Amino acid sequence: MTVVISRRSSTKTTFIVKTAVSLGAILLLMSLVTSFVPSSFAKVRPYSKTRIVQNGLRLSIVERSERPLISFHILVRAGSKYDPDGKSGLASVTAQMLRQGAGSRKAEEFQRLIDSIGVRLRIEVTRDAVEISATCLRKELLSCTRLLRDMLMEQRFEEASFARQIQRSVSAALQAKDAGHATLSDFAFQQFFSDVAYGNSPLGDVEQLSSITLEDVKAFYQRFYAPDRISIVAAGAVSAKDYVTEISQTFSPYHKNKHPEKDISAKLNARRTDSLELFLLDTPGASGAKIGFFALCDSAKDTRAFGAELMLSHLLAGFPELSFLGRKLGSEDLVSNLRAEMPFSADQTLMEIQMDCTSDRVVDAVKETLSTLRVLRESRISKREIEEGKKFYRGFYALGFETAHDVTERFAELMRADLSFKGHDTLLTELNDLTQADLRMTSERIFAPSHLIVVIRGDASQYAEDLRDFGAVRVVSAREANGKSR
Amino acid sequence: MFPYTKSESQLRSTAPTMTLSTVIMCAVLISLLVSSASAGPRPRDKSKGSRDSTLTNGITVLSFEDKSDPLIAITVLYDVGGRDDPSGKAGLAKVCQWIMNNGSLGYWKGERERLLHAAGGSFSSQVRQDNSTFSTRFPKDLLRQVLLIEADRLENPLITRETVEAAKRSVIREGTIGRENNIYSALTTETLKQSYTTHPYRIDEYGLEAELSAIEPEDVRLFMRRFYQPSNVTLAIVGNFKNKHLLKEVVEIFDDIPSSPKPEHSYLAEPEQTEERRATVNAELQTPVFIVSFHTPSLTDPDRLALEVLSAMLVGNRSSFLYQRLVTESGLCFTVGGAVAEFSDPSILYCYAFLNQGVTFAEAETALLKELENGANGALTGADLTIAKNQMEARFVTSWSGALGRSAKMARSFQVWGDGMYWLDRVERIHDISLSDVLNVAQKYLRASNRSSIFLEPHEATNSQQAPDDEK
Repeated sequence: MTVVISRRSSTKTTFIVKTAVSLGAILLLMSLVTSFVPSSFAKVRPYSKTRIVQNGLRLSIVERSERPLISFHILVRAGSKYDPDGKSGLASVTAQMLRQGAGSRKAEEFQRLIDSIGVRLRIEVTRDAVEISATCLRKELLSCTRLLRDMLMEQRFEEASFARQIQRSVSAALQAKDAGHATLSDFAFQQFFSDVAYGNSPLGDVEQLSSITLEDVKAFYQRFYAPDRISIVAAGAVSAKDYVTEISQTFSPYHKNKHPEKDISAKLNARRTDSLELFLLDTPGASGAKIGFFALCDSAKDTRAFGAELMLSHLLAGFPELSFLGRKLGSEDLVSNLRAEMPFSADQTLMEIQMDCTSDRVVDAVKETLSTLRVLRESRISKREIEEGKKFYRGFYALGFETAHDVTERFAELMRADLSFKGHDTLLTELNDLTQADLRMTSERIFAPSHLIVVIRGDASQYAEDLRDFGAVRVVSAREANGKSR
Repeated sequence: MFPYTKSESQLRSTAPTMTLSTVIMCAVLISLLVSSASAGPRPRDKSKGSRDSTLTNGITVLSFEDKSDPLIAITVLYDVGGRDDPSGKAGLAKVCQWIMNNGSLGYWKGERERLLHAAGGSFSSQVRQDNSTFSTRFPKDLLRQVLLIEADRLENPLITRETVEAAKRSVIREGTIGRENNIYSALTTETLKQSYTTHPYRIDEYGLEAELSAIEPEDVRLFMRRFYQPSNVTLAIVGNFKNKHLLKEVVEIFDDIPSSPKPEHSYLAEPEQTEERRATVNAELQTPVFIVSFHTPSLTDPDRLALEVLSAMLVGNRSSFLYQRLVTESGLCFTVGGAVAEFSDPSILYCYAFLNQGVTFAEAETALLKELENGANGALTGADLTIAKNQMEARFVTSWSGALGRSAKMARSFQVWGDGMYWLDRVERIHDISLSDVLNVAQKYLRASNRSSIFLEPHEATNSQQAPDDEK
């Protein structure tokens, strides 16, 4: 059979072929693009509206309409790293004063309003910022919005409330030491940042707290509580479009900070040593020990480097049974409660790897962990393991916006790292692009002896001698470990 | 029960971490443990999407189809907890939890983790006094695989000498280190010991080291055969699926697992307390703290919800009755808190108080007891009640907002009331409580003869810090 192809049909065929090739190329390109930005995340990200008000206030309102409640997360860049010399705890006292009377209401009346409309309010002071989280029922949204505005912008700072707050802050600082929740990380920060307020416990120093005056609090408030230092995310049963306008108007009468940023930025000077140091916080008679490895991470605002640090912490001890350390320490039944945390931060910060073990296993646990960190610095992580880590983060972000509270938590991470509200896309892209070389380079940097310290709380007499093989060992009484502030 | 009791929640999700310093007294978290309601089920119309089914082998399946959720959460509740540990084997339920979490005949240790890890999912397990729960949160396409894993560990746990020994070591290690790392655990331990002389609640879920060491594989086998079998299981599934398809899948996977009759709980009931109990514990601390606790009835008792409202009015928030008087007005304490412990059997309502510097136990305890008496005699007001109800409502709505929280609440609700959606009536029931209901239970239960007081004081307590007992 002879097939005759007319010129006309040939042109048509060429056109079809060209079109098909072009379409194919477009589809291929699209599939490549979508493989970089995981589609699962884009699908689940709820509708949101973001705005920067003229006075600098950053807002993001996210619609989640399944339940009749609204979840807020507010970040004020007024953390303890801004505490002046000799006034450790000032940021914390100022933050706790926020709920003690505002607008036209005195302390008791204001507190009663918070509780009567069912607002669950929590104020936490970190080294970087003051973080306020609140949840209210939809029917109380208007009251809650005004309450938050008054709290942030219309402080009363009454003398009587202040005196009570100082007493409470002193007791809280003592109680926190009793509870020991933050002992290891507070101690590590103190070692790395001994010259600056960043090294102090955010709750403050007992002696210095007593020297804080109401005038100090007012001055601190004036300096740091301005709209351009505040970010607000709200998620829940609201119309993002309407509420972003409403909240912008609520805060629009307030002015930008008049102090230039360079005048109020905190200076950090991380201390570095040549060799590894191990600090033993001695609690004689203890049969168990808590071990913390702290690595100095200085990737602030470099999303790629931060992504690498995040991935490393996950690969090290994310899913204990699957992680490098989990497999190594778990298979030998050495430790419990293994975990790693990589805080989102706008400044230098510490990656933490913590674990519990009995005193007779401390030396083995330290040895195995240090050896794992050394391997990470000296050789490449397999592509397969990196791919598994990437899969986890894609899945994590796909599931991570389920409730209003989840949404505000995810956005709070961005705020802490001073990333834009669209930062999830950036972060996921960076995570997705990470290579063996990125992780190797980051490991070389943060797990170097100069960037790493080990802190162990337990009965030092049982393992101090044996630990000297790994570096310089310093024994400190656990009771005094968190005593001093700059 | 108390927050300073080491929680066994092992959420493996490694979410990018955030600042997390929850310094605030362990006890604040106690309030999160408050729950429950009283009396029997009442009609409702809010359970659209939910379905209750029982398989032929006795497994209860509670499902809640919710297409608005991007994921699925499953809670598998076994009606066995620390209270069921046999005499001389305290900690056995914790050992079984470890066995359940570390592989089964069809799924090697780590397979479940690998599956969930690749999908960004998470899992956790808890052994409490009244039950053991295993929860998983995952994308919807993993449903069948997660169900298969749950079925296999129910039917084929790996009970060998090696796994039992590893489980015992792990439980002993976590219990010992947990207690050492939490200075307030001594307060918890002593409060339970004083409040319960006979009932197994007197020992926490981590058991006793000597008794754990004596556990043999055969003990585990017998215990698991009795309690870890279909008639003792509630499967609560919430999220993005179709009820019809789900049930078909569950039947296919679970219905063949052999079962035996639902086991009875057998332990001694707590006799009525007839006089006040007091104890002092020394610890290395700088902030003295004490707990006052009162016996309350079981979760199904009609008085129980009124007692929870009473607790919220007394110590539920910063406007609450005791907080205002002991912290804000007198400055004796820097914080107070409390709750009704979420025990199924007769429980306790407790209030704790952390003293401000320079305040003695005698001063703070006298003030606290006087205010409790005033409250019971009418000083608690309608305004206090309104605030407590609003707070409880907001807390309820929040706790019901995630699939995981809902599945856990449904499973627990079924265990206690035989109705998985009973929680949905909670808000109305709270609003039905009147001031006189609250005052009645206050007068009935806040009696000296029904009270235990435990003081945690610094080792080198000065006279001014000694507990009232020591001063006498």
